[in-house]
Amino acid sequence: MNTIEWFLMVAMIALVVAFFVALIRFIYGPGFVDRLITFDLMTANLIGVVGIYAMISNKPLLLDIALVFALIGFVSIIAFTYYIKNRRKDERNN
Amino acid sequence: MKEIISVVAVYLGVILMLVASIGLFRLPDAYSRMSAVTKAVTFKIGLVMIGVCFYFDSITVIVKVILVILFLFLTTPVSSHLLAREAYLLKVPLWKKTIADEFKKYAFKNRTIKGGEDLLPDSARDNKEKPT
Repeated sequence: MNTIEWFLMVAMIALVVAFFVALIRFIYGPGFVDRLITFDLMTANLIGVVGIYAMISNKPLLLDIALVFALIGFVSIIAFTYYIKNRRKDERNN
Repeated sequence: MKEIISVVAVYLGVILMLVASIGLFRLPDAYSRMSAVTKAVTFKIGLVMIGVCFYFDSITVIVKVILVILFLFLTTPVSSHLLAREAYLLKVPLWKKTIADEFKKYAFKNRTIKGGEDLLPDSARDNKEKPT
């Protein structure tokens, strides 16, 4: 490995540290909304890790995975928000 | 030279991401946490993807990078807006030292669903009970 790849490896380790710091909030978060925010951050973190790993291993095809993660994060947050909305409506009608 | 530019861009993105994680861990309120996370997510992914773009230097990579940045710039504000709105309507508590709460006037205004009276804020309920 040359110097650039070592620098990128350190950046990837820093991203993993950020992922675990977010995981603490995911465990202790007081409500549903905090966990959804943390999920957003984790998805972005995974996109970053996949991009840096594509640079280290010199395989540009891995960027498709980043594209798919970007789409899936959006759709899952919209789905969970819809679930919150329906739950609020049920609480009101009962 | 190209690799140095890409490494600098990636490091700026990673520093933003660490700041966002610390903010998510330390900020007192769901809404302030959301503001920290959303800005960091859009700009961080933009910076890391610009780094990837400079590193590979081929046209397919550039197209994919532009697609990822475009999707995130379109979808992250939409999803965070929706999430903040639903959090407010679910009555997630604000921070104690919050100064302005402008959404309160409009939040529970147009409730036509049955039994929605108890969701009105106190000021609106008082106005309703006055004979006009």
